[in-house]
Amino acid sequence: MKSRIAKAGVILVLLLAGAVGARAASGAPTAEQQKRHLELFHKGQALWPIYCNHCHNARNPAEFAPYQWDQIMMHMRTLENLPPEDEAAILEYLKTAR
Amino acid sequence: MKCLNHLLVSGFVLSTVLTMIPLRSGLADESSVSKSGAASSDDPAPGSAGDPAKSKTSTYKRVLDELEAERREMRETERKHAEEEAAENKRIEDLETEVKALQSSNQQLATQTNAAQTQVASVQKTINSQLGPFGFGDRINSFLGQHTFTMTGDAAVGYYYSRQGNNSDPVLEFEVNPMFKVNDWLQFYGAFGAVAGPGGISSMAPTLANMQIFPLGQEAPLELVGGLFDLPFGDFYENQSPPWVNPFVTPPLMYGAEAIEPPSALGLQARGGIQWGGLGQDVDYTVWGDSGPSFESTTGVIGTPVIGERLNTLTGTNIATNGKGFGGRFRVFPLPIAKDLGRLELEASTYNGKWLDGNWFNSWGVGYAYRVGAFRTRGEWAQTYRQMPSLTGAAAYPGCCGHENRQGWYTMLAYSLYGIPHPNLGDWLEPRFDKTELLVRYSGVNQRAILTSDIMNEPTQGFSGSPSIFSPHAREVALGLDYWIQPNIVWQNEVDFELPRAGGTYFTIGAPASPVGATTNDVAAMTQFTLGF
Repeated sequence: MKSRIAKAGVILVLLLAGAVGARAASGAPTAEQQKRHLELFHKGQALWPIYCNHCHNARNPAEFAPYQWDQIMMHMRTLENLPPEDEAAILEYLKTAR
Repeated sequence: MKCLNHLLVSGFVLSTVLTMIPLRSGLADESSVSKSGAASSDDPAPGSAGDPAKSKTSTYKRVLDELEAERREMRETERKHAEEEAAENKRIEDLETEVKALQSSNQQLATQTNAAQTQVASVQKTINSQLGPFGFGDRINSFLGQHTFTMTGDAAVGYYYSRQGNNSDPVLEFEVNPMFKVNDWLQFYGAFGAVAGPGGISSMAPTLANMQIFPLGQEAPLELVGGLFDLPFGDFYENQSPPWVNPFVTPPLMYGAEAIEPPSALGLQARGGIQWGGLGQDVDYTVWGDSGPSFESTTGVIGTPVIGERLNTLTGTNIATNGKGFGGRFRVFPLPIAKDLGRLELEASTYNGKWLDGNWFNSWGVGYAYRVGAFRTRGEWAQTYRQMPSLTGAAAYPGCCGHENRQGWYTMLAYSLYGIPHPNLGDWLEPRFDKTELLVRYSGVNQRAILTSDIMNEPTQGFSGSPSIFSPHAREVALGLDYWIQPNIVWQNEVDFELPRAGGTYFTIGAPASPVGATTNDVAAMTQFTLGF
């Protein structure tokens, strides 16, 4: 049973690495994209404690995986009517800061 | 190599000198022999006085022996020098071999270092440009695909006491919120929960089930929400109702036991927000249409419409009305973040609809919320109007007809103790002090009447079980002390003082109406451990 789990784990890691590698090989972000990411990150860093704390304590970025933050922020944007660019910045911060 | 040459030359010179020294010594001896010979010819030795020739021969032989001994000594010295030179040469050769090996090894290391540096640079470049920090989340998401599933929710377990209700009971609440994201413009959101208390355990029923749709993409300030959703009237139902978000154990009266607005509705919303000024200066809108509010008589819980009857609290099973509802909420956030003045929200809401046939339900309200540093406050005021049907005969129950107005309000203040300077509390007390928040809230509801069958005294999560709340003119002061173990884990403690005012009417179906005089005050205390996940 343990060996099956270990095999499954190895396969999962290889698949993940393959997917990441394949994606990585598809093309590096340009300097302009990197700059855009950095701007969003800093803006999100400033907005995260203020916007989240307006209703509840700001949650730790490490609490959820990036795909989960995608979903949670999609919900929170709707619930709190966040401006799209602000939601994008907070999402960038949460996914990166973790 | 140059050193070797020097050694060879030095050796040669040394051996030559050593060779010459004995020769010179021999010559000196020979001269002394000649001198002694000359002397002996002039002045013969006393021992050889008898045979001078024999004595001379003996002297030469002795000198020759001495010379032979010196030559042997010289050869021995030369041999030793030769051996030493050979040993030196051997050592030099060994050193040279060693140096060559070291040079070769250095070369190899240099080559390996260069290769490693190239590899590290390549990996660094890949990390910087591909995997992180900014791209990592997207890479993982890309691997997982478009369809993703996430579960959030909350749980609360507490112990409630009410003096007048004579209750002292544990309560439990558990809710999960599944989120299924189909793609970048469509997501499903739901809420399933159970509540346990002395009255029993409620079944796991959906309290929310809706689709969040981005019809114009993520960059447009327009979202649609279709399905069963929290009523976006004011801020409480949508944003403050989860137990770990609401800093109090109980909701304010106007959204709790004496709710003057329905908690949820079935319909379609359009909503969005834009930035109108500096960063943080936003304005947002929410407009919706739904199936309309419903009261107990709407769904047959009681047979006749009565002033004072309760709004249905769970629209999941009470949505089959023949009415229509529509509403809107508009909020503005006037303070820019750059000024560091905190975040202020000003809000206005309205909700209107037909609650029974052609009878209107109208409502409107205003609210605010503000937070700066360790201090926060929020409050709302709302008024509702309900048009009653004109009934005759037996249906014309006292209080059946005319119209009904209700008002509700609350204001709360909270302060986290980390805002107070406390330099000498010590390592143990200081972090605990920082996690403590003190709260106070005043809330009230005014209405014409209370239906006696609506009065409850069994606590359930968010309701202390105090019957004093069910007064036409209910007032409550709540004091709270929260200990925030984590941002999403809190131990809440609350003491409620129920201070109802005189006035209004109690209705009992099938009995005459009775005016309400002075109503008994009550005290309730609650402690609750709450987790948001």
